[in-house]
Amino acid sequence: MTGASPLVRCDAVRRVYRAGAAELVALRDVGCAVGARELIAVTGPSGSGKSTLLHLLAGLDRPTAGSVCWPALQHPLRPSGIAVVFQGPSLLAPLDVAENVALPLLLLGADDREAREQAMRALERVDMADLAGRLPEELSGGQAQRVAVARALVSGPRLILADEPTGQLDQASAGQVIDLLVEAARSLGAALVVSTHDAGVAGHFPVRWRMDHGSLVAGAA
Amino acid sequence: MLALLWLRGVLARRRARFLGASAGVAVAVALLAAVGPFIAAAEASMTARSIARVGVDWQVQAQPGADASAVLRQVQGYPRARAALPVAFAQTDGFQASSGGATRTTGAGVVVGLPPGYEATFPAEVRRLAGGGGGVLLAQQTAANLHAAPGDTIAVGRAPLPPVSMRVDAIVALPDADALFRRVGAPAQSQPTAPPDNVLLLPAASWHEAFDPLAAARPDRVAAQVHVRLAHDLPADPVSAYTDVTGGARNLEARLAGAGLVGDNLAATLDAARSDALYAQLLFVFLALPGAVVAALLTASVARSGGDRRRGEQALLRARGASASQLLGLALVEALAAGLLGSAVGLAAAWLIGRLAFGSGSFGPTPTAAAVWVSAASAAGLAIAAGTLLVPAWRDACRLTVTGARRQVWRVRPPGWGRYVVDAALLGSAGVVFWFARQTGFALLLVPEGVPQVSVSAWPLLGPVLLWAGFGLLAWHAAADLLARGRGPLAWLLRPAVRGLAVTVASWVGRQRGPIAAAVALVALSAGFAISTAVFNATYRQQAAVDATLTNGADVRVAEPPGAAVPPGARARLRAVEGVRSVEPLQHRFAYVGADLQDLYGIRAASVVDGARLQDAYVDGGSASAVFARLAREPDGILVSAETVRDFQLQAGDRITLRLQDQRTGAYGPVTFHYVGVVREFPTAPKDSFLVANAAYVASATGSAAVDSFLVTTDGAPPDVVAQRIRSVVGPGVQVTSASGVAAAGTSLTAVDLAGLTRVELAFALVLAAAASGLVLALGLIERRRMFAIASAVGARPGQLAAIVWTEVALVIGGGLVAGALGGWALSAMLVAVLTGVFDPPPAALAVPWGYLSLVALLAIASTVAAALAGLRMVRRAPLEVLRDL
Repeated sequence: MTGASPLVRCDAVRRVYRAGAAELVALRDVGCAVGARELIAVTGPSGSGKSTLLHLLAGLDRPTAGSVCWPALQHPLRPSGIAVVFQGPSLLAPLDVAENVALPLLLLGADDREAREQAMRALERVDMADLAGRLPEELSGGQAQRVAVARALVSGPRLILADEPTGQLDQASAGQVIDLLVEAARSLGAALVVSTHDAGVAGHFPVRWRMDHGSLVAGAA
Repeated sequence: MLALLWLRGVLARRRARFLGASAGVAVAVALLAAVGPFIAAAEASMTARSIARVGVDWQVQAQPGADASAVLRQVQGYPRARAALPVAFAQTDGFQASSGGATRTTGAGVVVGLPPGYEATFPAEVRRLAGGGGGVLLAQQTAANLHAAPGDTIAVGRAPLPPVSMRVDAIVALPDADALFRRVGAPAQSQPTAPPDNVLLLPAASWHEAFDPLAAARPDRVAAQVHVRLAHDLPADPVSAYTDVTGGARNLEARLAGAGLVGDNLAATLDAARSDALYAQLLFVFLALPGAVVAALLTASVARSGGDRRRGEQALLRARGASASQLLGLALVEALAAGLLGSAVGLAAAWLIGRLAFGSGSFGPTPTAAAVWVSAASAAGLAIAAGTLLVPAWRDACRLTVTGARRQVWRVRPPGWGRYVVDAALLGSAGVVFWFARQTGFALLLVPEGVPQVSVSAWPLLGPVLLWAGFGLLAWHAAADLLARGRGPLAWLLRPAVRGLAVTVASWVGRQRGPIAAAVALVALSAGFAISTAVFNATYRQQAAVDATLTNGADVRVAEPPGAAVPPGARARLRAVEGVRSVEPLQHRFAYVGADLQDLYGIRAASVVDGARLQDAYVDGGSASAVFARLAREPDGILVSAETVRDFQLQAGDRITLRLQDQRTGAYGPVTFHYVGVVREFPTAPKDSFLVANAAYVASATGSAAVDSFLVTTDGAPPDVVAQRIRSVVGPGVQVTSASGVAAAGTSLTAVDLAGLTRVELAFALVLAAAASGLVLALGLIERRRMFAIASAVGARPGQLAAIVWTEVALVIGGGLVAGALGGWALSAMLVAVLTGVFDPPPAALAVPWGYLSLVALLAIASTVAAALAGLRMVRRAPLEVLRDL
């Protein structure tokens, strides 16, 4: 991490899920920070807390104890400038490919035409412009994930969080998606955090955090 | 074992969905089953009222040559006879009376001999109007003809013997004269069209003293009857009661072995009530069915909202080796459990409703009917559970591959014009059925007189059924098409609310048209059900009130005693009573049309329409206002019944010469009128033939402006209350009756108290409308919470998510209510027309209960808004399990 303000920082974060009387501790006193332009792979076995950590970093979930803040991303509670790519199909079924990709821009207040043009450029970048008019149900898993990457990139985020983005893809598609993400992060000057249990995928990243039973056991600053 | 394991899992982890489906089944079963207690109570009420209005249950006539006293002994020995009294009849060639130097003679008549205690045993037969407690009673019309009063002496003809003289003790009315003078044993077409005009009632001893010699000389001119009051422990439903009573009559005739014939007045009344009873069954089952269908559709919505999860679970089970039959077995267990639970809860609710609303815990008028009713309602509940839980599972098991089942996407067929073919076919068929039904006068029931079997010709009811189904489908398809093809206009409409997201939201809802259009159709169907039920019930209540008012004459009728000679100006005293809006004086005279004696009413034509609230259905050839205005313009005009027009071949403008009695001389003389129109109904008038003319002309022609009764319309105050106030003003000699009292004593279907059923049906309609709008929207949001979670994850702010939700709310509730209002209006009009046999008189216009309908709309909107707010809270707090699935 560089000496500038981190994009996101976790301090002594603890996340506990409750189901009736049972408690599941997903994260235990995790402390970490992501700086600008960092490329980080979070590894660990299933159930080690990778997804929970990414959800907290994205501001989609709140810690049970400790704090998460985004010093360089303007808003203290719900950050802007963060894009998320999920493991499973995450495109909105009622919208076509172009509309899905344009959505983040429209939500930020861009007008239709401008959002559409930027969406098409993002789709060209992931080689999916030809399928702009298709509905998500008409795409393969790899195609859908590339569209999800395009949607993540379209608003020019400063932090891209990808939760097992290749978990449901074959090796060739997985490689393409990871290459896309890394290349896009570099060209946008964004930080990229990818969770994975695939050592091959983790090998693409200069920084690797390792999680085990909810604790960050190696790699984090 | 696997089934039990599965069921335990469903109950433990899918409890809400399972209970939701069971609740839908319960609502449908409760609605259908609740009709059972109503019908049981209504039929028992119809039977009881029918029995109560019969003056003499049986008139057993001794046959010529038979020993009348032996017949009496036989009848008295009949086990179900509670009272049996001998009554003697003699034909007289006329009565004669002299007063004021003039002698008046009547035509032929009847002299009846009544035994001691007759009036107490059969109180509905004789009503004393004036005079003392003696036993020589002169009928009202005869007294008028003779100008006779209590204390006068009249001569009673008994040709060929000399007349005998009798001193009149009292003047009486014979309210049940039609039955009293019916020809026992003669078929309906051979019965006299009217009771005799001249009647004298004598104590049995006086009768025998006067007419035993006649019986010896002319046995053909006398008859002996036994009047019977039966034990009224009859079955509650009119059909069984009718069968029971007619069987009893035949049994007695067999015992009499030809010595006597039974005139069965009780069976004749029950005969009319049994058709009303069948109408009641038909009507309220028919009204409840759409509610049950809406409840079934709601159940389907609940079940469908868990469809994706079910498909995923099926796929997992199949991937682990479960066969299609095993999957269906699991679905069957779930459907059976939901169906049984829902049916049990629904039946319990119906029982409770029956106890609270109708005072009846029985599901039918007889144990068999109750068992059939309970079985049918439970079967409907199980069918709904099977249709909503088992059929989709079976369809998926047959059609989907494991991979396909795990794809959790909403499949929407592209809209096409072809689908409108079914809608058009249904609506067109509804129109055709309606047209044919109108040609046959919407005859639903065939009740042959004297035949126990009643036939139902229910095909005209197909009209509203097809209309309802067609309009539901049309609402669904039209909503889907509008959402699919109208994205541009929709985006334009949405832009002020959602600004830059307008096109995206329009696309969103356009591609979500499947669930949104289904929700619109469901709201439309439930709103249509609520509207048609409410309008029908309101129209029914309106016509019941009109019927009661027509029978009574007005909200309150003030009948002056015979010979009171009250001038029209006496209305001013009544007008001053608190709660009185208007008072119409009514002259009642008798006039001969040819040889036919008819009632003649003298009225104030200029004010009677408003003053007596006359309906357009009372007249032919225009509105009531127009017809009576025509009468007002012609001082010597007269309105006659359609039957008289037909019988005497009258043409508009024809001169009719009637014979009216001069009130000063008592003599009948010719009076000429101009026929100006046809009147079908008039307050207090009989059902068949009567005449209506201007009071001033009648007064000048008869030499008396005396008013016989006043028709009082209240200003909205309860008629009972106003009647009581009037009684305190006019004193005990004047008869004051209110329409409320008449309604309580009525026997026709419109006299059945619908209040309980109306409350139940309207409450169900409210619940269904609220559930259809709120529940369907909430389920839709739950079903799509994953999408909202994704939208939130890619940056949608709470306000932007809210915009999408509110757009759906506006489309579902706005589209549903507009479509429901249109469909409900058409359905109401068709329903009231098809069920026109229920109404007497037929309604001039539909009664629209705006208050209730506003409440339905408000409740539907409130439940939708509540569902939207709950949904918004849910989508804003994207559940972790949703996030973790992404």
